[in-house]
Amino acid sequence: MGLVKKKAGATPSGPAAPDAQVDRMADPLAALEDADASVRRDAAHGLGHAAPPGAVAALARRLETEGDAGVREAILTALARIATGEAAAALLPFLDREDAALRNGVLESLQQMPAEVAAPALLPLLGHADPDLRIFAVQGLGGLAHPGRADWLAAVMERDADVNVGLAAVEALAEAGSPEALSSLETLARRFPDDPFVAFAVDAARSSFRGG
Amino acid sequence: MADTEPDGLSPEDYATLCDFLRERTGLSFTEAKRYFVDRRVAARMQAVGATNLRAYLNLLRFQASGEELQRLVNLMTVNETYFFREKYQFDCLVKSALDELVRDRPKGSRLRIWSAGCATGEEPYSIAIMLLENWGRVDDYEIELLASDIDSAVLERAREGIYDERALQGLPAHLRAKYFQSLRGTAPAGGPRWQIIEDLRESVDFSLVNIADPQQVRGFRGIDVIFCRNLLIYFDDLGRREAASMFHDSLAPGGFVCLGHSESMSRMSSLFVPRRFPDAILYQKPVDGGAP
Repeated sequence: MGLVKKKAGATPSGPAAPDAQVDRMADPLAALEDADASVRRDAAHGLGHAAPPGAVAALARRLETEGDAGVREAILTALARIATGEAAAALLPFLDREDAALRNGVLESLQQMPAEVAAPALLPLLGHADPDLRIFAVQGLGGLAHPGRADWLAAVMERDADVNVGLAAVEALAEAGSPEALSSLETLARRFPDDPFVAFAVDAARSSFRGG
Repeated sequence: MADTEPDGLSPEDYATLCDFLRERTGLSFTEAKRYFVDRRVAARMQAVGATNLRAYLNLLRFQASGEELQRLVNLMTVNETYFFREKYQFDCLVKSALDELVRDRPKGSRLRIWSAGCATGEEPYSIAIMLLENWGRVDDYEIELLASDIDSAVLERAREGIYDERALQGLPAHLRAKYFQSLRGTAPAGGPRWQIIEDLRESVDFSLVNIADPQQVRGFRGIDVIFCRNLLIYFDDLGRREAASMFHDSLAPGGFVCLGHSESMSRMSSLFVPRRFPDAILYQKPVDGGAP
């Protein structure tokens, strides 16, 4: 035993894909429902690169029930790669799930879309009744390279009624260090004067913005 | 598109070319790589007599053999490496990871190790030497060493296994004496040439694989350890996420991915669990496959 020797005259082109699997990929929308997780994963990958009509809906539908982590990741990546308003909208309902890994994957996909696609999908969530969803919207928007980003987050600090949503905005802004948001930070501190964590977070962000 | 491009590609043409390369190969080139890309594309356009980028892109897209795309890819990839590079990761393999992988496996079963982005072969041959020299159970298992690259020219060199002094600089003298033979003549850069012994060359199965293409990766299944070091730095965020997903699919449950020292799986994908061993951090596919 030990190191296995190559077979003499073996083709150097790598292991071949099983024919049956290649056949099943001829219809990627159907392959997305295949019993074999590898076929579903490859179908999702393929749909991300060449999305026929109905691809987004089919991917979102599969994501609802998909139990294999690799396939789920491939679906999330495919939707990020398709990167249309429809794909962004298809991801939003999953932000409401209990499954934190799924929520994080969804946020990551939205952030990997062009900002001009992801932002219009996320912005309406800032007005959602559920503060958790508003926090996810803040986190999503905070990761976008969009000229409106600082203004959106500043508005959250100045107006959102939930202290945790405001703090999420502080965190998102602190990562980039946005000095123009200083006055919004002060506003947040004034709005929640009795919350020691707000004072701490605002202080830390203030120092970071000032380079202190 | 411009008809003539005497001073390199226009911004639009550059973007078109980069989109095409990313789509077909996964390789991502930003504006910072402009000079690097311009020079190589200009050289290839001149070589094939293409007067503008449109003509050249048509050749890349529609040439049945794919030969020109392969030539361009060969020029675009950087293949700087040497034996025992970042050796602590090989130490981790033979001191920790393999013992864990075979804990419940009977003697005689198979282990599959894949060097993805193997360039001129220093990495898979280093793994082979490390296994033979430092893993006491090497003879208890059938160990299959797979190695792949997107660059056909470097694969030819990998199969030949001929190296200059620079590639061997990290190798102790006794290992050089044991696993290499001195060749007559001098290396292109001067100095002596050495060739990996035939026994070792026969132990690594090299193949041309674009890891951005699932069809090409599909045959890599049940892999126990994937070395993919300093390759994904050429991919964009989505490309890295897709590659990580592909590796997850290729690995056997409990299998490991080893990335370059500046790379972190947690910034690419949440499918893997970081495992801190005494010598290095590896990324493990959960034994249950990571079911949600």
